[in-house]
Amino acid sequence: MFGVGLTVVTLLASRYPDSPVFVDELDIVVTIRPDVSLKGYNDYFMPDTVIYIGDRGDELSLIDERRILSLVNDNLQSYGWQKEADPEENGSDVLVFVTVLNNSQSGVIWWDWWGWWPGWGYPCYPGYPGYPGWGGGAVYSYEVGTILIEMIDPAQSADGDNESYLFLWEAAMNGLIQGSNVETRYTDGINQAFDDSPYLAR
Amino acid sequence: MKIRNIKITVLSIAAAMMTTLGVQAQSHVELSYQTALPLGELSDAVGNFSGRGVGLEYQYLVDDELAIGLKLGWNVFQDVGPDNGLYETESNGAALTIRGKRYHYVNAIPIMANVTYYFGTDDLDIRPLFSLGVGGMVIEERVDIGLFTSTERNFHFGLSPKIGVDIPAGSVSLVPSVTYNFAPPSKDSITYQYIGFNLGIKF
Repeated sequence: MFGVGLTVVTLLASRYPDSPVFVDELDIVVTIRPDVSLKGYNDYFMPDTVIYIGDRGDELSLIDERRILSLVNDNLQSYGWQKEADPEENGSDVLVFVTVLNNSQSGVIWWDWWGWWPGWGYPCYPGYPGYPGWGGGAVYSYEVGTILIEMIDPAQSADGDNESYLFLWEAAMNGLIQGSNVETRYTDGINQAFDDSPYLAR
Repeated sequence: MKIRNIKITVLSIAAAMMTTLGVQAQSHVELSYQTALPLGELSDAVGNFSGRGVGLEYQYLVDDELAIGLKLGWNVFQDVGPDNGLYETESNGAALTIRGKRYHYVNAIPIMANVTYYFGTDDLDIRPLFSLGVGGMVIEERVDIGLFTSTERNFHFGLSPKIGVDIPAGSVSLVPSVTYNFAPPSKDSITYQYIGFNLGIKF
């Protein structure tokens, strides 16, 4: 009798609360703003390609890459940022990178100074740093397919050896190139990241 | 200790009670299904009525009217935020915004010594009862947003008065009851309080 009672009570109580069912329920948009003033930063340079980290091979189509870069450009310019047309000659106040993480990462949301990633070999314009590596504290594990948008100040080196740079802003959109409705999700995610960062307005 | 392990432990203790003590005339074991209504700050955090709870109580009858014992419980509260909710936080001097669907769970696990007073005499078919549980409450709060997970677990002082009715039903009794569960803040936590509506089977 007690066993029956135990079973009944356990069954009644054991249905655990709702949890995410669909992949888009795990979508998140994170923005990070270090305690650094953005005063005086007005123009930017952004490489004309998306950078992939990892070897999963889940890359975006060229069309999607261009859409993403175009979305970032449009949002920056709507906030009053000016795209530097001749970065080789004039430099720019900030560098903006769009990255897709193509393998599972642990602790990829960092702020603080960015460190050079030796051997990365990103084809930068002369006078610009290569793609920075990461050197801060880890708080989070990313899903495969996460899109990062990062902004750094290439003129401010943390240690004077041009191996780390001042980090100004980051947006992370978790796992958006995975699952279905990819275009809608990354479009909404990128626009949302900028909407949540009104301090970027010039 | 993970919640799943706590659940297994509670059930194991129930089985052990039955095995080692048996259902003797001077002692009882009450097993209950519990629902709960969060109050105060807990209601602000997870306002939904909870239909997920279980309780286990051992009573040793000192005399016909008084029983002492132990009780364990487990109530789960949850709240699901909007699809694209905005949450702001700070870490290492940086301001973070997080947009996403938030799942907020609160697990409350009272572990208390218990005194129960039965009104009337044993001749009565139905006996009202009052009990007071004093001890501790383990509270685990978990917030999930996407793959972000934040878990905080604290041990609180706990108090749990209860009123109910003991209704004989063959070889067992049915015990509908209402409890008020109170756990004051521990560290920086909120005050946890909720009213439990329980249906117990007393063996």
